[in-house]
Amino acid sequence: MCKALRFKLPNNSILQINGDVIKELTTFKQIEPKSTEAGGVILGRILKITNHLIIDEITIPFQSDIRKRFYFKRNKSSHQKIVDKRWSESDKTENYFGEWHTHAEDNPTPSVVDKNDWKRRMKNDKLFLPFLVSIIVGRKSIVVWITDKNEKIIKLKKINV
Amino acid sequence: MNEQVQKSFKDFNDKIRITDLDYEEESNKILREKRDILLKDIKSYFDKKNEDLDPKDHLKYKWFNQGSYAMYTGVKPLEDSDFDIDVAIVLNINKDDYENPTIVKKWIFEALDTKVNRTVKWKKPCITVQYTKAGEERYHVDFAIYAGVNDDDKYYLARGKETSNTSEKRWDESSPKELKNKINNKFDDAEERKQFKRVIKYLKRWKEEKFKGENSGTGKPTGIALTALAYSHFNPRIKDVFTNEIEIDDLDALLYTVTQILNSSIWSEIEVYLPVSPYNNLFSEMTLKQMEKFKEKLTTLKTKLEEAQGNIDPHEATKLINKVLGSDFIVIEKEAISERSSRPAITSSGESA
Ligand SMILES: [Zn+2]
Repeated sequence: MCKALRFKLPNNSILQINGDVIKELTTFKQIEPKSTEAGGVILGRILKITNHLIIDEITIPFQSDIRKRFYFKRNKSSHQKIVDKRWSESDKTENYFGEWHTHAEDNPTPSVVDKNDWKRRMKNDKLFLPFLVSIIVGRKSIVVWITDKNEKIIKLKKINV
Repeated sequence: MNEQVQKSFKDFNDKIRITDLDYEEESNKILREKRDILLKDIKSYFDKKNEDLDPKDHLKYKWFNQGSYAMYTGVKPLEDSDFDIDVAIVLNINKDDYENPTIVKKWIFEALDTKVNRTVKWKKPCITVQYTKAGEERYHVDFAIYAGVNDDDKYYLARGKETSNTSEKRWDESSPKELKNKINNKFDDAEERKQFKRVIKYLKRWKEEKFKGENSGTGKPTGIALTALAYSHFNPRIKDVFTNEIEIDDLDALLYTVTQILNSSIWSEIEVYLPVSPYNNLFSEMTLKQMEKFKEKLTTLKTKLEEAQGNIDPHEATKLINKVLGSDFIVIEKEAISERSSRPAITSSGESA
């Protein structure tokens, strides 16, 4: 089993990606010269008492998604269906946090396409959190950003324990 | 320290602990009754034996609970294993008058070996009464027999079977009462003492889970060996170090104990001595390979507990602990500790590069 990763949010609460999710994300690493981009949505919950955020689940690419070496386009309805299903199955606690995708580079940075997509979602989508969480899975690291209300993109710092 | 996780430890302790045998409690009734029937048989045996003896030669004895019941560190057995009760019988005899201790042990054997529904067995350190129910072993009572009136004022345990070699038939110096007192009085503070007992119970249940179906001959550590390890390595975690306010943290106390046990045996074989005479090494029967296996399992326990301690999600933390302490450690449900939302988010399709 993989260990959970923890990141500090601007409001000082913690965002934790659970071990099972880390394990699943790493299976999509673009290691092979021909492996294509993968992506999906991130699902999680807010803890009572501490208000920490827990990422429990992700969706993985569907047939209807487009996967290229340097491009990924996800379809709306298939991923949305899972968001809806998990929300009702979890007694309304599991909800949408944001998006993840892979990069064919060791330590990923967001492309212009990525940044525009994150800002657009912040503006147009009906989100659960007051910000959007974005994960990029590189070949050597997993990096997390949030996009806030002012469309400011902030890279989160990892917490070492 | 997470209060929800601490609550799970508390519930776990309530689930696995065995309450005092002599309290009026339904769960102990059968065990207590069985023990008392056996004690009655022992009494009748000696009453009868004494009829033929001169009053000054009468054999007298006293009994008391020993082992985990007496130390409040008893853990309910897992399914398919049996309860055990340890009883000390101290006779008013001098060991020097009985060169062969099995003569004395035989009295207890004869006193108990009278009924069809019980099996009485010779074991090296005791006489055991095994109760069987529907073909399954369910509980046993171990009678340890001591010579209590010796020239040096010490107790001596009668060891050996009738069929043992002469060297195995011997009187071993023993201090059952001192052991009980030492464990029970290690900490003056009630909270510290209770946490110490809980950590012992957690270790004992962990052992039952991780050595399922094995016995001490195949490398499973004994309950007393784990108790002695906790005795030397446990340190209470009941207060916030900064504010000095009560903050009970069983996870940290257990993790600290496990870490100290491992640290103390990095470069050496694992060993721990009974804290009272005869101060024997309680791991002396383990082979090197068995010790390695034990340390490996302890290391896994340590890793999982560390991961649980660092995990901010009480659901994930208790899931990790459940993997090492077993199914009686309840995993906190996600839904119980997470906020509800009014609707699922609505998200559009999107692209990334
Ligand atoms: Zn990208």
